[in-house]
Amino acid sequence: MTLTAWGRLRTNEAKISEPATLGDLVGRVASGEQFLGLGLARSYGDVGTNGDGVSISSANLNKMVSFDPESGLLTCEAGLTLRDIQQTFCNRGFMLPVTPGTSFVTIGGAIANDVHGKNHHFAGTFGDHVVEFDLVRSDGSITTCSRNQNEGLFRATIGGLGLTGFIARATIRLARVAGGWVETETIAYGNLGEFFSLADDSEADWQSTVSWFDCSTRKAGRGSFLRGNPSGSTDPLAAASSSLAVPLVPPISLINKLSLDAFNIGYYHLKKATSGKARMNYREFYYPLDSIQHWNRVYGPKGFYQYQSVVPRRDGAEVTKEMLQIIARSSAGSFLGVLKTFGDKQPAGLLSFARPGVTLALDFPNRGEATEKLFAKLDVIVSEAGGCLNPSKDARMSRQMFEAGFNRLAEFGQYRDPNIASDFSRRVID
Amino acid sequence: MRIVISAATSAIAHQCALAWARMPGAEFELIARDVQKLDGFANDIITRHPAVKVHQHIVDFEDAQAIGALAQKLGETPIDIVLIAQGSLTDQALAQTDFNYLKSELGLNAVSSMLFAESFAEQLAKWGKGKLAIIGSVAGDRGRASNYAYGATKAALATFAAGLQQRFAGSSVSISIIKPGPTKTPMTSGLNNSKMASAESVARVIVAGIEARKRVIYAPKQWALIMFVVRLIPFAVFKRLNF
Repeated sequence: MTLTAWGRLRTNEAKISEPATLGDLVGRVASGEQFLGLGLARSYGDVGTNGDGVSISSANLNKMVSFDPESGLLTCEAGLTLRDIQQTFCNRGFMLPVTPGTSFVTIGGAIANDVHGKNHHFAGTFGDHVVEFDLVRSDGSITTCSRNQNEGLFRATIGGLGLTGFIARATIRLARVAGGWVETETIAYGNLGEFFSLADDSEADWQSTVSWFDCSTRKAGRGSFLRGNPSGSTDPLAAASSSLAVPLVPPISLINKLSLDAFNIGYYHLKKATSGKARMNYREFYYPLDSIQHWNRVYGPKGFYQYQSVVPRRDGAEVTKEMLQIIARSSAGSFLGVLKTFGDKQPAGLLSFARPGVTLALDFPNRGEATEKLFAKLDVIVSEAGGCLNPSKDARMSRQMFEAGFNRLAEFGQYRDPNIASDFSRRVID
Repeated sequence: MRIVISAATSAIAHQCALAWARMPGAEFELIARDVQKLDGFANDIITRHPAVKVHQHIVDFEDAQAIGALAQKLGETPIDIVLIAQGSLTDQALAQTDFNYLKSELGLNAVSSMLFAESFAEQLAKWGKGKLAIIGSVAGDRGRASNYAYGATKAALATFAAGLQQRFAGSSVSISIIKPGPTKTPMTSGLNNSKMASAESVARVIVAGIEARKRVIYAPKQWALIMFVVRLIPFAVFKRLNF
């Protein structure tokens, strides 16, 4: 069966196995065959693929087990999606405390990639809200892991890219909210200096902050800053209707110099015009692209890369400026750059990506060598600043860069499951 | 709204249950063979919809006596909807060589569903109202080399349902035969099922169809047209097709 990661850079002929029950799952994990766990395949590069080997999917393991409205603790199977959780609980006064920019993510995937969201400075990463999980390993064992029980394996599995075992079910703590609404403010900024003061000024009073910026034109550095807090509104929210879709893969990338400039200029002025306060439903606020199915197809048959870096806050402004200049000069620009500051919270997992600093995320159409050359230049800047790249987005970083950015890799090694590997682990770890 | 679902651990049945659970006053009588498995599905419904009442019943799907007794017990109070969802995707090649396997597949796919249909139709008739729906398949619309052991059982259910429809015509008891196209469920997980319809979307069509008391419910709806064409293909052409 073909399996393609979100970046669509290559297609794998995977042997996908879809156990129907937890009992089935244990049998398949312990079958002796090498495998990798599979959720919704929304990772961009190769952390979620296993060449032409076996992928054990959590597609049928998507049931809720229990929910306690006193504590907000939800126990569920690993294939349950964040979308399902948000829809089920937003009108009952609970939501996920941390969510990435798409809700098409399974609980297993959210833990294995220790995903972060716009509220990192307020709530940390997804892993910070995981209370415990059951991990099925290829020796047939089922291990319950939490901060009090098997803590080493717990920390290794959070952000562990699926390499420590198959997360079968998990208990997470949902956050209490009034409803599914967010009070937001959008502010246009003209340069990076303004971005950093906005970010600093917003941290105390705003739970969520993020910004989109222009990196393709000579006006590089200007952008739109969005901040938000859960609303006190209890108005019920209707279920999402998803109607738009990119129906096919265009023969060439629709993202090119011309369309980008036009888009970025247009987007800037649109955001400038719509600056100010607004109440958004959580879908508009957290998941703006979820309403367009298969948006990744716009990059054409060659696919695209996302480059997401984090560098320490101290030199963050300088480093970001330097990176933006290189990107603007390369004309390999991005649809939208995302720039945000992470809070000071230390990572929940041994291999967690989100850490104190400034993170920059950009999508680039795959133009072969030209794109690789640009990345090589950016790598140098990120490495010299003591930063690293996000494995869940990566399809090309060097072994050296991974080792330098993830200094607990050796400790992580002792928790690996010997029968699990991914294209990513073969490329930079094994 | 009191709803009986047999084979409540099937993916399509479960998605129907979740759709009904969103409606006010839903109460479920879930029937399955495996207590542990049923527990998981029941918990899913309750966790999502804490106000919904869920009762669980375990029965041997081929024990005519036990099925009749269960129907009688559940029929002591009026039932609004009965959904009969058991089915196993028969391995055609195996069925052609292993006759014990063929026999057990025919038993589950045809006999068991008919026993449930007859037992519960009697209860609906007793109260003079209710909707009974049986999950058949588009595979029952025309026998094909690749799946006729499965298709024949589903054709039998369609005929059985048609008979019940005539029997109850003019009353407030409605009978529906549901014909899902290939659906992405654990039953089809051995096939290349990534492009199939989701159980959730199929369930939406089924729930609306039962509500509207449709006699035949194709899900997704385009299968009505596709199977209309497939039935019309002359055998001289059909025999050369490979699908």
